[in-house]
Amino acid sequence: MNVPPEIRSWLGESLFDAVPVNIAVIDPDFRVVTANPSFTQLFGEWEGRRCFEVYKDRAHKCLVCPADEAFSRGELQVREEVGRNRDGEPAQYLVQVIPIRRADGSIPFCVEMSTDITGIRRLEQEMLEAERLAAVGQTIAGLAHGIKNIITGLEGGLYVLKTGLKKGRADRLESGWEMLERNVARISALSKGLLSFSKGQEAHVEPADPALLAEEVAALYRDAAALEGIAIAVEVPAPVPVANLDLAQVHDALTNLVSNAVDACRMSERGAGRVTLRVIEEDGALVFQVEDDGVGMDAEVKRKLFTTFFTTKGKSGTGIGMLQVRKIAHAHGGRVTATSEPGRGSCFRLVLPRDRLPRPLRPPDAAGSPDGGEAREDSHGEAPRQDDPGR
Amino acid sequence: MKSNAPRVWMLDDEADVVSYLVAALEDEGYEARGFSEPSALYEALDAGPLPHVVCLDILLQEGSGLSVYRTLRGRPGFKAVPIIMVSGYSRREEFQDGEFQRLMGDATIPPPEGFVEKPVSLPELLALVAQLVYPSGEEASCCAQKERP
Repeated sequence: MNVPPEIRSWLGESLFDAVPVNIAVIDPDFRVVTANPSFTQLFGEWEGRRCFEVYKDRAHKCLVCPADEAFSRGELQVREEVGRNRDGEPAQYLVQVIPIRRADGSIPFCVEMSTDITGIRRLEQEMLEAERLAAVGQTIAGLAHGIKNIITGLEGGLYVLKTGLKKGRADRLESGWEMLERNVARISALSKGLLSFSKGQEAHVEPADPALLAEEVAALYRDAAALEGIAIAVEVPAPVPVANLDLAQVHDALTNLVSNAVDACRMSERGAGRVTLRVIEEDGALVFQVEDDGVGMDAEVKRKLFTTFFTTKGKSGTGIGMLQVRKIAHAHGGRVTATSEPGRGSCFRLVLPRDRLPRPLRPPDAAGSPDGGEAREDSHGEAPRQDDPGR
Repeated sequence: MKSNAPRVWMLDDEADVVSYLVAALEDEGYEARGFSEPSALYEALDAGPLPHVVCLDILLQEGSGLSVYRTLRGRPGFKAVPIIMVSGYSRREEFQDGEFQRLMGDATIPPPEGFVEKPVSLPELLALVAQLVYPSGEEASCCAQKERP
């Protein structure tokens, strides 16, 4: 494409000075050789100083240093850092380090570009908070519905018992009494389920093999399902790297999804069915996909899917499972999606973006020591996230 | 139970709801039958005679009550039988003309004749059943055989 000369000249002469991004060029000794006005305004005097002195007011190089990586690997490095903005307030920066390569392959300089993403991170945080509030609202609404159903059962028991007494019908006395007993038991089960759902579980995050986890969950159901003609397969089309997961929680989420899928096959008129648990890596996210060819869901069921106490399993379901799955997904910085077609089956996906996965409480040595300093600090009390490993 | 009593059938996978409402309807003089699975309801419909009113829960183990509703409306000879939808989750407005067709994704399907929210208010349900069984306010036991306008 033919770029008009005035654009070409602006890109060559003014871009560096005009962009609202802090840009510095450093040499292999980490000394700043040049910087744009935005950088100078933010970090002050830089001439003759090294980047860690300018950025962090440090006397020595940071332990985890994206510039070091860019010089040694010759590849773009992306990282989030915590620093200060022009007003001295804490700010989050997206730092990109781009190596400048000579024809002979050597890298004499790297360009460090940092963009203030505090506003974006704040918005994300607000969005998470809004989702959490919505979930609380749904939980309360669901609780009301759950209790309503039990009240109907109790009212029914009383009615049948009372009219049995009045009419002298022993059959009604017996069934009315049973209805009362059953619904008192339901209140007990519901309150236990609610307690375990609301209990803040301590996260035990550790590096785990996702494929192995999937196989473990499938193995739990495989034999029993096979007796009903339902096959459970695990597919891992390409190797999936280890991920930081709360094993017990993700196990719980997958157990819920696989158990639902088996139930969906069971309810299908076709009888036999197939459940496939796939583990895939997709756009930087670890994805567990549970697909079945069971009854599927119509619009009404889909709409109520993540509503507390919504169940299609009558008394055998408490309606807490899918909400639990969503809660676990959120705790891992991820989400659950569902697609379904009535009569053909459903597909549930637990999507866990790797850069949002929680960090293990004791990070492996390779992840840097606590005074590495450059890693993004968690400022909002949420589960700390993994830093962008760079590209 | 009178042999010529109006027949009111109920599909709900909550056994206690079925026992409760069947008992209450019997006490009102109806010939009430409860079903906990759509397949049992379909078999009874095949065997005949048709009921005068069907109460349908929206959430069932074997697929949702909405698909049962669609199936019932598609059955020959069933057009005249009023259906009352019973739900603890949906809003009444969703079952009104226009909104209901959008919910079902079918512009031609008629809305149900009645809607009752759970927990079921017995007087409300009984009044609605009576209104549908005796549209003119008088007892008649053959309304299921009449085509509605």
